Amino acid sequence: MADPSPSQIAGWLEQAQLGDAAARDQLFGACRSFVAITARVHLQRRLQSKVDASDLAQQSLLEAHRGFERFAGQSPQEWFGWLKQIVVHNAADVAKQYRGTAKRDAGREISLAAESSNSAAWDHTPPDPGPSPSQVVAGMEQELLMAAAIEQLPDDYREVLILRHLERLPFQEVAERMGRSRGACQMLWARAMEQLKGLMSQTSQATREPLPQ
Amino acid sequence: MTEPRELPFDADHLDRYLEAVQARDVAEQRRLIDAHPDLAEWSDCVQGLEQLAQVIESPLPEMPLSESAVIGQNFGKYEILKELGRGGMGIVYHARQIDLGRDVALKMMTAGIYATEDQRRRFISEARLAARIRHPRIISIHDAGELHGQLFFTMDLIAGEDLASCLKAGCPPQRSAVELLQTVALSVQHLHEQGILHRDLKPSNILLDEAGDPHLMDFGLAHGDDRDTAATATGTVLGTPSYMPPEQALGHIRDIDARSDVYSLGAILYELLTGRPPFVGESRVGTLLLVLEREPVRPRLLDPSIPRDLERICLRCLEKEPDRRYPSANALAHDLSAWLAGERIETPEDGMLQRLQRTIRRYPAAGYRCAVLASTMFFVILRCLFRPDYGSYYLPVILGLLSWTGLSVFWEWRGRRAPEDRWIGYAFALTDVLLLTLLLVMTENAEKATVGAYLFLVSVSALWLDVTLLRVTGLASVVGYASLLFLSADEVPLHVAAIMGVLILGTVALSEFQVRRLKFGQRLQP
Repeated sequence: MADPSPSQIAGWLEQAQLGDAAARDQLFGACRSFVAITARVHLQRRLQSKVDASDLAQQSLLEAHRGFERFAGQSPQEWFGWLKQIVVHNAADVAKQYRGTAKRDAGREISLAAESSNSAAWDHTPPDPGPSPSQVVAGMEQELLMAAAIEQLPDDYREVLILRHLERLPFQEVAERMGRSRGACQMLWARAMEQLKGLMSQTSQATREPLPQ
Repeated sequence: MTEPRELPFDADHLDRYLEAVQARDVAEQRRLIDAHPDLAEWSDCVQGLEQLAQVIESPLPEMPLSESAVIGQNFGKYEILKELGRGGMGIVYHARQIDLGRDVALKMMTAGIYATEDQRRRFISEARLAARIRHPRIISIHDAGELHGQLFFTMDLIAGEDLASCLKAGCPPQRSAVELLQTVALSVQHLHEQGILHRDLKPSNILLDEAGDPHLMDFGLAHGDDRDTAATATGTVLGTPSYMPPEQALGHIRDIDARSDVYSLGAILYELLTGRPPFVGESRVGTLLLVLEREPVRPRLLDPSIPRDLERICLRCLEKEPDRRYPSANALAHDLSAWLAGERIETPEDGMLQRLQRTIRRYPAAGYRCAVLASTMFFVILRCLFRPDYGSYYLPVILGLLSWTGLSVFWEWRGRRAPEDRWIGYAFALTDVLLLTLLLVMTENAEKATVGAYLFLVSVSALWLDVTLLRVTGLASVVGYASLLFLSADEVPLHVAAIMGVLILGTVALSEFQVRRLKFGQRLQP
């Protein structure tokens, strides 16, 4: 297998759409951790800490696999959009079911303050528009590696990175969400970063290795 | 910040660097790396995480169908001309079928190629159901299929407006309203005969053609006998609460039958006659609570020109209990045509019990007070019958209870005239506390179990779902109880008084907790 190059995903996608089963497996293998991380972030957002994110990821991947023929887009951009759409839809479904069956528990877990400060975090607009979605997707291989590395971390390391980096919450809120002190969270975060850095340098050294499956 | 730090690097610098990255402040990033060169080895990691965050957060790529870009495009053998409307899951376009040269309405899924399995299943089931129907007053399907991963079907194109937009301009004359609803009821009957429930009947799903004839449409929530569990599971949360029967609002899927559609027909008739749906709350949950608990305002109260018989037909459709509604859409249509012909309608006048039930549901605040006060009076009078010598002692008590009843009815009547005023709840609460204290003082009941009535008053005031009102009632109860102790001749031990005070405040706290919970639930609902 070749190095992950910017055209790798596009190539697999094209081959898979022409009916190449091996390319399709490679495509799904490469996107597995991306789907897993997206599922985790969306469950976090819906405050559904009790739902198992890997179930959601698994279900979404299965759906994408089964419905692959129906994916009519061409670019990797559309492909990741499609995957994300499936995850977002399933997360919404799960949240709906969960709210229906366990209203009491959910109510106990979510405080009004947590919800409002959380939504305020989303309203925050950065001073600079940042890269456009197409620029973001052009180098997706790097992000896929990052997603795979995060997936390998222990649970609490992963959680602190998701809250602090992917959700961009300040430490005070990370601490509230994780039910630990602020100092303990910063400590946990520092250790998580260290381990992540180690994992990332391993992958970049072993460039001959295939993408994690 | 008291935890020991034993890290091999300075986490504070890294934290500041991360903040600069998240704020996209490039100058600050550069400054930090210059000042602390060991940060450089972290930059890949931090930047990589940030990029991943952006990918997860970036908006979904544009969906061809959510854009007006499709207008003027060819879609298979159809040319899309303009957008007609959007529903929960579909967009309807005015399109021209090129080969036959005719105009049709073309419905596609909003989610386009991003639609999930579940959404596709629902869309297909809608098309299948609609294709089974051939009726001049129900929109029929011509063609269905899939093109470029996009599901679609085409229907009759009706030039005209839907009933909801017509109603915005004003109510139709009563006779035309009844004729219109009779036609719709017969179309619904046809659906039921085919084994299909519509489940989402509302003015916006009724199209009026240029002649003013109604055409039924939108089977997005409908389902046939072949109960598709996935589609019904999601169906319960959909639908428009203002036109939804209680059994559907509660999500009791098994209880939904033809009489549920009869209810929605009644809700449409109500709006045709009065200009507003029977229940409109501040929020979705507010509306649902009204649907479940309250009696609609009598149409004749909103417009005295509405004939009594028509009001009775309308309210029979809107009965909470399906057994009390018309058994079928046909029976409703039959009663409507009897009214049009000036004949006797089938629906009987309300019985005594039913009228009482309606009154209590219509005026719950006064209704429940009257019920409780009347039973209290009953026991007091019973006591007088057994001990006639106590008559002079109990006479003022009965007078007190009677004026309490009278005041409740008065407040309810004032409240009806200005329903948006909040003071009415306070008026009720203060009247209650005042009269209760007065009665307890009169009967020298300070140390007896009847003081428990204060707790009852606090719980009752929670029904207004207003925390301030609840607290005011609690405070008033404490003050009332204190003055009772002060005025009463009996000596009440201090610890008993303290326990009673704690019970009142505890009831306030507990009720407040429940009110906040319910309000939070309302916020969670879309």
